[in-house]
Parts: sequence; structure tokens; C-alpha cells
Amino acid sequence: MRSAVRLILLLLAGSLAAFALARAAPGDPAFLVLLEANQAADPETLAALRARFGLDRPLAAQYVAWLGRVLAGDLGTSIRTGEPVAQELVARLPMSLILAMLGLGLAAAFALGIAPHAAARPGGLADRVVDLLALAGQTVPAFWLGALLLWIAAAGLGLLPALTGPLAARIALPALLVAFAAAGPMAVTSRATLRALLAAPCHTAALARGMPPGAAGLRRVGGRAALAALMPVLGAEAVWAAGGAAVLETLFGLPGVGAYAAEAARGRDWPALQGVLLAALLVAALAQTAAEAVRRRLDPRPGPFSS
Amino acid sequence: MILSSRRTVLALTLVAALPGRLRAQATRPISVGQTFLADSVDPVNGSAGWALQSHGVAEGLFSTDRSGKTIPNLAQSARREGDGSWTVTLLPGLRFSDGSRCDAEVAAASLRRALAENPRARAGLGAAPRIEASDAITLRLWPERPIGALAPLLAEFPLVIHRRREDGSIVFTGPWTIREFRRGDRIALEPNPHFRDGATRPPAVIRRITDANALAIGLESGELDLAFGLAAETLPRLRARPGITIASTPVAYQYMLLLNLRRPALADPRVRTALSLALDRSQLVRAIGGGVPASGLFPAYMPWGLPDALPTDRARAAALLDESGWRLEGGVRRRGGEPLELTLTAYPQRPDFLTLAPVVRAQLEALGVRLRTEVVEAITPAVQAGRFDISFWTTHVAPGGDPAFALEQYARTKAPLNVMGFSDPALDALLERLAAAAESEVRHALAREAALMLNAALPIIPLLTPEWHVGLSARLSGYRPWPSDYHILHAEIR
Repeated sequence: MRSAVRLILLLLAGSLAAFALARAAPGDPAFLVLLEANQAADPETLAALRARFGLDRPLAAQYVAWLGRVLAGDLGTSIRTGEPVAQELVARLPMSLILAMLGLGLAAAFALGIAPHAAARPGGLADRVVDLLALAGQTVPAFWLGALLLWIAAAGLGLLPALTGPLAARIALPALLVAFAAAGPMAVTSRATLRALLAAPCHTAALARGMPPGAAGLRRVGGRAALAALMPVLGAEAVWAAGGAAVLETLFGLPGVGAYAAEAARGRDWPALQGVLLAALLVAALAQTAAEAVRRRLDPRPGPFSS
Repeated sequence: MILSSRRTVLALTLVAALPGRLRAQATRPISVGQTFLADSVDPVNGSAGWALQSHGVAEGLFSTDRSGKTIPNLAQSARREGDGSWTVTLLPGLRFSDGSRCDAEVAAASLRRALAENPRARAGLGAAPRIEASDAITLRLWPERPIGALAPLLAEFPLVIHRRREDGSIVFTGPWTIREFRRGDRIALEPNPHFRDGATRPPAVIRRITDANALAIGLESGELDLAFGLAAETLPRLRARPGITIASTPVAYQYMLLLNLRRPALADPRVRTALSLALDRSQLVRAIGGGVPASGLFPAYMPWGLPDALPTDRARAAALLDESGWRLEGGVRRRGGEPLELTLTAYPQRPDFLTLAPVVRAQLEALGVRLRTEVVEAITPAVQAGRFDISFWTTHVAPGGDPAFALEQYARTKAPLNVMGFSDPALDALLERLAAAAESEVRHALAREAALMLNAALPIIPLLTPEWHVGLSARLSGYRPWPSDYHILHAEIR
């Protein structure tokens, strides 16, 4: 019951934040929609467009009307396309989810694979790779790396039709890039968890029982703990991946929610932007909740997002 | 002996397979990459009509040719009657892509639907003109206000002709028809078997690729046959690649400066002329990597465009400022101790303006004008409220192929977008004659005269006609682009 009330309050606050954020950037959606279509922005047409989308009403009235529709399951109509926002989001969500899950899955597998080696040999090759990845993943811009990778793989080497091929070919490079950005923080967390285990009594006892020292032993003793520690990071990275995905979806021409958000932001398409922000809030809350549930199952002790 | 037989078999297999491969190449869909894609297959939604026309799916009763002139399309003529109404005659035997008849009754219903459901369709004809079919190929139209030329209004994209079927799907008359529509991703097209030229053309797939760099890479990798909207900085790289052709075309989105004539300095025509003379338009063209120096409000390639680029004459510009009392003192023009200080406004939705702003500033400051630059997000409210001195601006100056459009929007006294506060009774009188003129040659001559009057008064300083770039694979190397984005896939592609 408390959780439900909390979720409702979160969504109410989120709806207000989405409404305010969408309108925070200056710009007139009616003008931009005409500009995009190369139509003359004469006052009469602008007024007709504003009236059609209720933009001529006071802000409070616009918010109440929008919230009322949201509660009825209607996220409104896009000013740019004239299509229902909810329908658009539902159509695009699978692409974004596949991209995020594939990228984060690859990152998690990499982190869990390299972390025991990095933890077992501080200063070794694996340890340095984790450090380098944590730094590069957060500092190298996704659009630059993406364009470079696309040029090498598609135009230079002709490895795959990354822009026009089947889904697997189109999603491979962006998924690698999502993984590249998320692998560093995940590997750092897993390494820290396993390194802490090195001095723990359970590790000493396992060694005394004949467990081999080094990465193999660490994986056996600390694999579950490392996975549990990874969960909150996975939840947080899922939220960040959504932001990065907007850049990657735009670059690779993938019809996901991120690309839709970028277009909506550019055109000040307020209903679309509000819908995306609200959906992102919901997805983020669900991702954090799911990650915490899995973490609790792996390790029942209170975690960073426990209440 | 065995080796020789194997070679023979291999050679025969290759020879046998070759025609098949060539056939496969010919029937492979044309792969198009461009930054926009129809968001809907219903032309009354947003700007879907424009995108569908650009995709080669939808058509209007009238269209524009490569010179930007209005030409008949589904209609063969539009004639004004004595009572101010219009008679539009359609081509006989027109069919939609599903084979159903496209007659006057269906065309009237299509126009009425667009006007009722899309506010953008009402700009030219008004909200509710009376439209009725007289017979199978004749439409009668009673506009809400007198109209001098109907054809350019019917060429505008919100009025593309369509038929909504009972199952809710919509059919059009263009050379291609939609086989698969994936919003935001791609549209697969197949040839319209009922298109009136009866020609064979390959299927096509249009993909939305919004990143200009990715568009160039798609062309380099051989994934795209046609990449529309290439960025100027990618062109040298693409031109160096064998098998890729770049076709560049000037487009009618004139770049210009609007001057606020309510500012005392800009109210003086000598100052406005000096500002125009101080601009080196060739340098502006180089700054954005392509284009044509402007000759007036309309591009030079249009039948009513002026042929010669506006001149640069810094000595004459300085003399005009001296004459108007703005004398050079310590590097700055002053009159009565007050500096000639102005603000140049740009907006980010047209990135070229952000590139041009420092160049224009440098050229005018060389004359002694102190120029501040600013970037505003919402340019229309700013200029409509008069919050500007000099503002960058662009618009398609003849979307339906009629010169009256831009002149009526910008140049007439109290016109909707005459934000400059310009008024010239002689020009207004000329626009009255233009509104009443029916013959296209007469209209073009009047438009040229109006453009010359504007060049003399300069409430608007035309800068340049921008160029757009299309990248083509060897398969489409003969492709000729339209000077707009209204017809990217067009009937000439076979």
C-alpha cells in the first residue's frame, strides 16, 4: 500500500517536472513545426495551430488538462506529427529496450568476467584495463566514437550493413557502444566487491579448504556477491543508457524512444516531450525496483536503494 | 585435364549467373537515406502531405517544375470565372494506386477534408471555401476571398489528393505506393501500377537517417543509392570516392536580413543601401560551403528572378553613410556623437545563420557600424514584437510556384510578415495588379518589377540562395535533383 502511494506521489511529482521541463527551453512549437515543414509562419496559421493544441490557454489549465488525459491513459497528441504520443512510445519502446538490455547485458558479462582477474592482481593487465575503461567510457563522447566505429565497420571494412541491414546488423554497433560506456563502472564495482573479499574470513577459510588462489577462487567465493553488487549499478546504468541511447539511436537511425525524444526536444514538441519524460521516469523507477529485487534475492542484506 | 574441366565449368557457371545478377541489381529496391520521413500516411496530419509528396507517393492538382514555376499535374487547367469562382479541370482517366477512379467528386472530398482537419491547409484558400464537382473531371471552387492565381495554392502540399477507403487506409496517385510503413524508421515503396505514364520503375526503400555524418557513411558503404541533405563538410570526402556522384542544386529558401525600419538609423534608405553594398555575398557563400549570391527576393533561377547578383561597393557604402550624416570617428560611424550601433539576430534552428553571423558582423564593422550579435530561440515572436534591429530570416519564397506568395507575406503594407514596418504605396499598387493578373508571363514581369522596387528600398537585404547536396551511387548517377525537398523521389526515376 505504502509503495503504491509512493509510486502515485512520484508520478504526480514526475508529471509536474515533465510538464515544467518540457517548457523550460525557450521556443514556440507552432513556429518550429511550420519551420520544419518550410511553411510560412504567418500569424493566422500560428494562432490556429496554437489553438488546436491548446497552447493558447494558461499554463495551469494546460497542465490540468494534460494530467487529466494522462490519468485516462492518453498522453496527448504530438504537435509535430499529429499522432498519439502513447501509440508512438509503445511502438518505439521495444527497440530501446532491446538496445539497452543487449548493451547492458554485454557490459555485465564483461564486468563479471574481468573483475576476478583485476581484483586478484592489483596493477595487472586486467586491473589497468578496468581503470582505462572506467575513464574512457565516461569521457569519450558516444557520438564521436559511434561515428568512428560506423565509418570503420561499414564504410572502411564493409563488415556489416549498419544503417540498412536487418535488426541484428543495425543494433550490433550501438549495443557495443552502450556496453562500452557501462562496462567501466560495472567492472569497477565488481572489482571493489571482490577485492574486499580477499581479506574476508570466508576467503581465507576457502583457501584453507584447498580452493585455488587467484581469479578462479575469487570467482567461486565471490561470484554471487559481485553479481549482487552489480545490480544497483545496472539499475543506475539503465537510466543513463536511456540518455546515451538518444545519441546512438539518432546516429544509427534506429527508431527508438531516445531518437523520438531528441526530435521532440528539437521541435519543442511539448506533448511528446512530456510523454517521453513521464515514460522515462516510469521505466527508471521500474528498472531500479527490479534491480533491487534481484539484488535482495542474491544478497538479503539492505542495499543502497533499500528502505 | 581435370583442372581444365573445372575451370570451364566455373567459367560457364559465372557466365550463366551474370545476367541473373544484373537482373537482381536492377530490381533491387532503390535505397534512399534522408533526414525526414513521413510521420503518418494520412496527409492531413502535420506535414505528412509534404513528406508523402517528397517520397513520390502523393501528388497535388498542380505542381512546380525545376524552375519553381507552377505547372498542371492532376489538373490540366484552372480558370477564373466572372463571379470570382474558379473552374478546375482534371486530367481524364486518373486512378489511385488501388485502381479506383480519381474523379472530381473524390478530389473535392479530398480538398474539403484537408481544409477541415489541417490548419496549415487553410493558409491560401481560407478555412471553408465551397468546393463542388460539376462533372467527372470538373471542379468548381468559391474562395472565401478573391484569389488572383489558384493553381499555386492548389500546388501546396497540405492539399495533396487522396482517398480514404472504408477500412481507414488512404490511397494516392503518385508514381510509388506504400508497401510497408514503419514510423520513424523506413517506408518501403513499390511502383504504382496505375500511374498514368505506365513506365516500369524499381521499388524503393526510404530510411530516416537524421545524422549528416551517418548519411555520408551510408553512401560510402554502398548501403544507400541516394543520400539527400548531405552536409557541406562531407562533400570533399565523398567526391574523392569512386562511384559516388554529388548533385548540388540551389533551393528557394532565400537567406535574407530583415531590417526594422522603426529604428531611426534604418529608416534612412541610404543607410540600408550602404549596409547592402558593404556585404560581400561571395564570401558568405564560401562561409557555408555553397550557394549563389542573391540577386533579390527570389532566386535567380526562377523565371521571375533577377539575373544579376546584388553588388558589393564599399567605397559607395561609405559615401552613402557620410551623406546621411554617419561619419567615421575613431573607427566607428557617429552622428551627433551617437554611434551607429545595431544588433544582428540569428536563430539556432537554421545553423547556417550561426556561421554567417560573424562574417556579416565583420563585413559591416569594416564599414564602421558597431554590430552586436545575438541568438534567440523564438524568432517569430521576437520579430513580430519588433524586438530586433537586423534579423536573419529564411523562407521558401514560392512554395506553390507563384511569386505573389512571398510578396503578399512580406512586402505589402501591413502584410502578415511585414515585420520591418515597410510601406510603399507604389509597390502596393503593383501587388494589386499582380493579384489581378492571370497570365503567367504578366505575373512574372510584375514580380520582377516588384523585386527591383524592393532592391531599391531594401527593407529586406537578400543574402544568398543556399544549395542542397544529394549523394548518388553509380546506379542513380543520372539523377537530377529538384530545387527543393518537395520531390526527392520523382517520376523521372525509372
